[in-house]
Amino acid sequence: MIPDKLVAFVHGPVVSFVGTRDARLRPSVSWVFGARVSAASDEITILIPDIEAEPIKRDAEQNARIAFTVAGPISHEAYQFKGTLVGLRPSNDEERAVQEIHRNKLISHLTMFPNTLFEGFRFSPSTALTFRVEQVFLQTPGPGAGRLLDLSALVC
Amino acid sequence: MLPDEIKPAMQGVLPSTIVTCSLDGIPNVTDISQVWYVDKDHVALSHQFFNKTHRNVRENPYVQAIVRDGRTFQEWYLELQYDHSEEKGPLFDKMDMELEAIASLTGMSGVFKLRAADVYRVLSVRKSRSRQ
Repeated sequence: MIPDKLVAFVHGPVVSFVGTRDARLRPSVSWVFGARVSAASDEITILIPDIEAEPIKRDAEQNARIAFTVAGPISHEAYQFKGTLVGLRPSNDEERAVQEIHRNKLISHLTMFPNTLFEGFRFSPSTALTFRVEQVFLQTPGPGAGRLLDLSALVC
Repeated sequence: MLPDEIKPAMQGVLPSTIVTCSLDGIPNVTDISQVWYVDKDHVALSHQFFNKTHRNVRENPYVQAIVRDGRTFQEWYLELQYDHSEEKGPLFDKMDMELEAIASLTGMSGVFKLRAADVYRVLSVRKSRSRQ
């Protein structure tokens, strides 16, 4: 079960990226704009803007390996979720609303940047990629980065 | 191969993102403080910790990186192949000094320690399509 602390973090003003690899073990990365965590099912649905999604979709369908990193742009607190693809589909209206909410959270959080910097990002249309989380790693910069987290110890 | 206009995205103002892959096929995505411009065909990444990224690159030299311009948020995608590491010399000294400056600016002084400058060959570069 994904702990509440991590659910809240993923739903907060974070920047996030997804990584995959192809059959030749060549990796690909794309930005992610918005995510929804289903704590009960240990699944995360990430919203990948279609403008950069093709290599990720191709890799995920070929071998199902997913790595997803979220980071606080000011705190540098970061986590990486690794798991297996559950499904891919076009994002729906609710998920587009999630992306708008996410954009507003980032604008409110990153007050040192002018709002105009957040305009013009082509995050819609997007692909909803759902994966089952199997491992979570601490990714905050420093010697502890990469440590596998014991999720049962984080459940309140 | 690297255009001059990519240089502002390689000054460490905003972190870069890299993905590597282990030989058993598990991708790994992480932020790094900076991708350094070496010349038109090479960049360097800092090796600070013996972490998953470091292990993956020794197993499988292919990396994809996103670097971003701190003034415009323009992102660039780079495909890279690990070439060699430098543990001393001008490139190492330059990266060591700049890494400490980044650490000071981000309140992480003392956290970053450069072990080596890992030099990568640039296989491809393109601008992100994420901005209109």
